[in-house]
Amino acid sequence: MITATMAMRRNQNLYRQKAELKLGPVSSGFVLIAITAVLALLYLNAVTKTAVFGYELSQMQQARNEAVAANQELEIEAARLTSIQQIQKSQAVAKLVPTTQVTYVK
Amino acid sequence: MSPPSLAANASNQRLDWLYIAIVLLGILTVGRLFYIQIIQHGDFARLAANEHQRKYEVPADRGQIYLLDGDTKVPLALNQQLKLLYADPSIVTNKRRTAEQLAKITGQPAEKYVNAMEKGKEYALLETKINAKTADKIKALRLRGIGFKDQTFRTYPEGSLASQVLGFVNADGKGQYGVEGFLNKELGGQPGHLNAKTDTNGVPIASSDNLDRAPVRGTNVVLTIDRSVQAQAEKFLAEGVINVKAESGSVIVMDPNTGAVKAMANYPTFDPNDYSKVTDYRVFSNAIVSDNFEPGSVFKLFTVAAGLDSHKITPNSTYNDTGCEKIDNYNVCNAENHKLGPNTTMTVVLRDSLNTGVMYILKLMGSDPATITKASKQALHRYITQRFRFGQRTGIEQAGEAAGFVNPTTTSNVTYANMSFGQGISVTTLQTATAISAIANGGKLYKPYLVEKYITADGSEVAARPKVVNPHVISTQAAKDLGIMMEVVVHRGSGYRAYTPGYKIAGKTGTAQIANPNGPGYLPDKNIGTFAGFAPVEDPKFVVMVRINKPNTPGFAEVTTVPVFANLTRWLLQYYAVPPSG
Repeated sequence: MITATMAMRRNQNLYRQKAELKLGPVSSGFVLIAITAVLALLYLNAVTKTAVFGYELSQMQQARNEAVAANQELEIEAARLTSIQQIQKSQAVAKLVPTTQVTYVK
Repeated sequence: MSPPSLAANASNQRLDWLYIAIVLLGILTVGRLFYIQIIQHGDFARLAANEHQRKYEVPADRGQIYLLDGDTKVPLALNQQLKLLYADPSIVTNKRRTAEQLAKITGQPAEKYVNAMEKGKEYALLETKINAKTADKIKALRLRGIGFKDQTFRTYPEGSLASQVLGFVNADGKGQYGVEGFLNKELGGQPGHLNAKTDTNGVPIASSDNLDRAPVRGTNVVLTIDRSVQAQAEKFLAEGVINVKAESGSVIVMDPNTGAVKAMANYPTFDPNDYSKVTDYRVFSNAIVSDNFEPGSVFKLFTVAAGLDSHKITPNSTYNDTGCEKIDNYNVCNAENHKLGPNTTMTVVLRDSLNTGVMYILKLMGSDPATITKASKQALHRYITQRFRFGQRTGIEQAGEAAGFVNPTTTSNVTYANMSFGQGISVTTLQTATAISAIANGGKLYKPYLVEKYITADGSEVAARPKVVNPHVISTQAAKDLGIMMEVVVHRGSGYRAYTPGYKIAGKTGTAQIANPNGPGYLPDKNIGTFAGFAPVEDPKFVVMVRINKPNTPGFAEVTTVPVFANLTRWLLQYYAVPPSG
């Protein structure tokens, strides 16, 4: 009985080359360094982005503080203008006369 | 095998020594590294953290204070973000020129800045309270060595209105005196914290390692003070003090049905925006709560109240007014040698302010109506301290409240005789007005209060509720009788200047001697005038008490204090739209 293996053996001229990728210790080192470098760059990029956001946040906070301060200024100015001293100084109040006789309707 | 040559041996030895040296060096290095990295790890880690990590305390916004104008909230104390202008004189190249440029913008003399820069080495404070507009103008000059620092300042838009009630916030951000001092913790809020990595300029970098706790704004406070009532009280008081050339004065207006304080005015006063310009620090105190004084005849009200409540007297009870009484070998007499003789009623005692009359009541309250006994002293002491709560702080929201002083029952009979008409006892204006409120409302003693409501950082409101300290200080009948007796004082007695046709107004004058601060006895020509009352008698809407210190015009309280009371009471009757008594 002739098996397939025996047939193969008979055709000894058949040749199959197997490609093998082998990494030596130096190549592995380079690859490791390259991966580390890429990861480091990615990390730095992320950190820098966060820092940039931090600065943007800081600027926005500054702008907010300025808006709050401006709002406070206006609130204070409004309070000053409507204070009892200002009301008493106003010309409209100066023209008012005190009530002398008040009649109450029961 | 041939033996090694001498040269080879020497070479090997050298290599061995080199090897040993390298190993030793290695051990030393490792040892040193161990010492630095393991043993001194904490110190170096701290140094490194200091370089790139900073801790900030983020101040909380201080709570704002409001008062009421009718039902409208009016701001009384607000916060303002301003800047502090400083210089680093070691960097400023031309001090004179820099000062002149700054002076042009701020309007201040250039000399002020030159002097400040010459005094300071690396830091000179040039100006405080610079607003954003002015700061922008200064920044545009790009002056070398000039910088700004943000600061929050307290601003009082109503100026000196209710300044002693308010107090102020000092340069360290701490509340002093008044409500600012008493409620400093509540108003101050909770500062936030930021523990962050920073860049080389110290600017925080956003990082997941940062620890951030936001500040919690202080609680806003709405006072019971009515702006219009406060302004009028201040106006009439100032006029009154100036008219009688007095040293100072105070007025309080209270709602007798709740204990809410509607006005507390003192004269002289100050502007809390410029508190640093004040030279006499006594002006910071709210004398209404912090000043103990001998009240004088106004205190007769409480002796009479005790007599009425204990059924020892009625308004029509009579006694023989001999003009003077001998007690403990001292002759205690009526003012101005008044002597009304027999059948003098208790109503007349109050109307004419007879010292002998209240001493008579004091005697009646004990076991022997002919003399002052321990029992009579104990009875009066109980009414004064346990019922009307003299000698104890009221707990009002004001810093520096005084308690007053009531002599114990172990003191002499003559001391108690004096106490019955308001000498030899010290009280505050607030305690007296609070006690009179109890007479006005039929016998309920309310705790006086100044805060209408608290508004917390999350916006929730906590309203103050009137608190009854003692529901039956005196009986309703005793309170009613006393009210009518006080009405007679205004209608026909020493308070006649407060008489207002159509209205039933109750009141009582007091002219007290001032204890000599440098020795025994009293100051010969100085007095404290008081007048306390309420209106309308049938349904009291307000209690007013006026105190004028050391007037320089002749006459008793009827001349010094009653005009202030009268003006304010008439205005209040209109303000509260109180119809005539009919």
